[in-house]
Amino acid sequence: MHTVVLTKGVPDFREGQVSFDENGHLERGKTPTVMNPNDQFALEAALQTRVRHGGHVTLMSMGPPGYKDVLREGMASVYADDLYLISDREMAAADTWATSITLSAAIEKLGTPDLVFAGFKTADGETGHTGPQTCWCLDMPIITHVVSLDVDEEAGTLRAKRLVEGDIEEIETVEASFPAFVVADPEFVPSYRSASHRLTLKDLRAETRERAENFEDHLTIWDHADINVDPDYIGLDGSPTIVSSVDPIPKAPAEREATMVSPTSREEMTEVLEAMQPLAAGATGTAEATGDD
Amino acid sequence: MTDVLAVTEHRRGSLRDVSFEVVTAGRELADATGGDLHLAVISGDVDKFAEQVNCDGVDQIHTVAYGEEFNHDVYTQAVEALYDDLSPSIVLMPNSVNGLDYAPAVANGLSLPLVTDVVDFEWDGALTATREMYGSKVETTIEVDAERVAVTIRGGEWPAANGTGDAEVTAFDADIDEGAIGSRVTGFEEVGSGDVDISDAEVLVSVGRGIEEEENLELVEELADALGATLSSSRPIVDAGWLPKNRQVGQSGKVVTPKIYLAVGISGAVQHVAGMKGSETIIAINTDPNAPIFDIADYGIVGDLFDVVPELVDEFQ
Ligand SMILES: Cc1cc2nc3c(=O)[nH]c(=O)nc-3n(C[C@H](O)[C@H](O)[C@@H](O)COP(=O)(O)OP(=O)(O)OC[C@H]3O[C@@H](n4cnc5c(N)ncnc54)[C@H](O)[C@@H]3O)c2cc1C
Ligand SMILES: Cc1cc2nc3c(=O)[nH]c(=O)nc-3n(C[C@H](O)[C@H](O)[C@H](O)COP(=O)(O)OP(=O)(O)OC[C@H]3O[C@@H](n4cnc5c(N)ncnc54)[C@H](O)[C@@H]3O)c2cc1C
Repeated sequence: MHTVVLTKGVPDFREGQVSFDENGHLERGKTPTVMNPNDQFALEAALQTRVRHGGHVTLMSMGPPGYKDVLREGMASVYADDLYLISDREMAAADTWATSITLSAAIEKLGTPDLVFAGFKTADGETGHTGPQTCWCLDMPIITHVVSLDVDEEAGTLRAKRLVEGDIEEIETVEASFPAFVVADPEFVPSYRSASHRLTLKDLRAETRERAENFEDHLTIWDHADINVDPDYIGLDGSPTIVSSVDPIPKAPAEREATMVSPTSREEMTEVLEAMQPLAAGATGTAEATGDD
Repeated sequence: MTDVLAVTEHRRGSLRDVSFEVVTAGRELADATGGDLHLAVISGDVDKFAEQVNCDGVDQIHTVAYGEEFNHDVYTQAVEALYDDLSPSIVLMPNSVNGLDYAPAVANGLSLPLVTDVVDFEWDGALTATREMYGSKVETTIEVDAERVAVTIRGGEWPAANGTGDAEVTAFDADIDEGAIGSRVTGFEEVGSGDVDISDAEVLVSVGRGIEEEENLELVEELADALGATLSSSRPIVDAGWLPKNRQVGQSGKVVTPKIYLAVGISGAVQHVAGMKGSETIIAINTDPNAPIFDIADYGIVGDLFDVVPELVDEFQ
């Protein structure tokens, strides 16, 4: 089993990490880059197939040279056998169309893998189309929003559960043959039913953590000539969508005039309690259980 | 030359709300381009769906009867075939789970640029679209450097179309290639429909990231018990797996309108507020006097929930 996982570096949007200037522009220099959080689920899915069926997990990213730390992070935090960074000045300012052409060319250069995994959306661009577009270039069947996965290696098929939104949550089971493309949903949960799988998982994680310390030994960097793509089709030149401005979201206008209350003032709190009292009392008759899930 | 093709969506035998929203958005664009609005109805009971979505403003409806439910390759092939036949300038699709599944393939297949999750747009010979990014912290303007474009629109941003239209309904032979269908749905289950419907509750105690740890949920559970209230939450609590998905209030959760909404340690992000701003009385507890939740609250308790909640429990027990 050969699986390729796609990951992108994104600004670290955790509280306190991200820095915007007064015009609402992200200050990239001041904001550290991390692996796109959603890509962890793609990696988890690949690790599951590695544990259950053996083989090989390749982690790949297109981006500036600094993205090699993103690859290291993926290797250290989840798992990877080897790392590929596709990096070239010609690829700067690529939109998803150009990105998908570049990524698919790099994947094809590796030979056709059995499975390719992508995350659902990045924390910055948030378009959600790079995965499906890369899949289109590779001409594989696609299953998106995958929350659990079973592979039948002998039959060369996979069966995935796909989360679809609705008034209530619904899950579809979808089947496809290799080679196939899977977009992992943030709700993806790997499953290791047997004790031997859990043992393998433990060993693999320990092994990859060690490998991550010398990650550059496992890293290959390719430019556009390596993957044989025409510079006219990648980067800004190959990108029909252009981001022309980034503006802060106007804050929603205040819709209510709140009475501000200090919890230490008995008088002020009494007003709030009175507002709650009649309903709280009235509700006791029809109280719903506050579900213990 | 400047027509708009909008694609409807259905699940389990019913059209989804977004089908009526693409009509409104599509009409808006067609008015700007000076073209016609074509609707595509693909799979399932297409005749019934076509009749239901035949609203004011629709010029033509094209039905593709093939299969019952959504399939990636059927939708991709059908939309591409319709595009070849109608040659629209804009293909409009919903930014739903299924919309995001086939729209990228359609865009690549037709060599169209794609802009997803659009909340606003303008047409001036080419499309300029607005979308949110960075976790909805900024709004970005995307200029499309092409005459034709594929777009997915965010649900809930355009009002649903209504009225009874008189669009002509035609069955379209998309000539679906059976052999090119790469995946098949083999099963279906409903999950998380759940024990409780928070949208029915009269009193909601809603908890956010201010609670810090899963063990601390006990505190708000106690308060909910004391008030005879139902427990709900912001998204991070559900993402962390501390409460099931059916407890989530907001844009990607449920819309609630209780008599009392008590927000405990919730900042009041736009996506959260979208789900609860219709509540009758809103009370918020937050340590941060500038938290946006206070802009839509009737009472704002500026304080530490770990002090205030036990006090309230004592009061109501
Ligand atoms: C402000 C802004 C707005 C943009 N808007 C658009 C737009 O409307 N249309 C458009 O075509 N482009 C747009 N782009 C460009 C786009 O962000 C990048 O070109 C593209 O590389 C990644 O798109 P994304 O971040 O949306 O990823 P998504 O499509 O959300 O990513 C999904 C998954 O694809 C994989 N992936 C994505 N990028 C890479 C990569 N570089 N290397 C490896 N794997 C990857 C990951 O697994 C990821 O989880 C925009 C960029 C910016 C900065
Ligand atoms: C496409 C999209 C859809 C989304 N859909 C939803 C949705 O449906 N529902 C939803 O809720 N969110 C949704 N979000 C996420 C949303 O943007 C916010 O991230 C989220 O609502 C924040 O949750 P929170 O208020 O619990 O956490 P935070 O924003 O972290 O706020 C925690 C608050 O607790 C306060 N606090 C901390 N400690 C204490 C204390 N001891 N006592 C009192 N107060 C304290 C802090 O001051 C802060 O205001 C969505 C986001 C996106 C991008």
